[in-house]
Amino acid sequence: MPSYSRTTIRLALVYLGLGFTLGALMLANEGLGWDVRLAGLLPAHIALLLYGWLGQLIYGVAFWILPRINGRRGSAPLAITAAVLLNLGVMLLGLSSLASIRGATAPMGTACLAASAFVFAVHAWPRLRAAAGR
Amino acid sequence: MPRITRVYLKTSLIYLAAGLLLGTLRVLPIARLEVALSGSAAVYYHLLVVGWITQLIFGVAQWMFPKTSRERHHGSHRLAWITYALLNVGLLIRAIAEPRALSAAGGVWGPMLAISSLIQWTAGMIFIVDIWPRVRGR
Repeated sequence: MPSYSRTTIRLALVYLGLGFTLGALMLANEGLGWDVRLAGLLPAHIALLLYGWLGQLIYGVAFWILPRINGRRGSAPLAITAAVLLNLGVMLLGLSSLASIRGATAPMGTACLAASAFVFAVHAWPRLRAAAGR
Repeated sequence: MPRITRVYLKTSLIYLAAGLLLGTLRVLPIARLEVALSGSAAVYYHLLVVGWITQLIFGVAQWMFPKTSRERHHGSHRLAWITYALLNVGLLIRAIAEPRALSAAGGVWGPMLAISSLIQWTAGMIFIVDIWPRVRGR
């Protein structure tokens, strides 16, 4: 497993832990009625698990197992840029659960995620084309 | 493919079918069904996201991530089986308790939701501890 995949998959596991923790807090709160404000963590719960965990795990595994071109795994700088943008987007979206800064961070977060997806697609495209000839 | 992976994948397919069935029932224009399933939105999402997708990933990870030398020699998946049991017990408790807790405040269903959350959280943490050493080069 290459170092890029190790880093992104470990980060994905960290987000899985955080996302499960927020989810458990919200579910327990739903049953026990601790504090209505905990329900406001839903956007962070979704961002952590959907993008931080699932998206980043997919980046890591795709970088690892997609076909190589001349023995190389495509452009590493593109893959790294995609991961940086994804993590920035997840953090900004996570912060948007805090009502006081919601207005600014949510659009910036989703823009980072969109840019991340585009950059990762540019990284993966030649590797997928290489697979067509096999 | 190890047995734990086969069990994870088969269970995830059952949740996929169950989630889609619940999703279909939720949109049927039958008044009695609409009332009966009014508190099932979160259960519907979690049957798919936890029961299907998460379980699919957990199972495939056990199969394809590089094995540690201990696993190579002993083939043990003890923590993976504990994760599997906790994740499914927690999710099933949630599926039963959440609609009831939402329809009637008080009673046993609220605390059951809290128990379900603790069980599922524990499953997630055990998975992380179990798989972390396997995120490595060969």
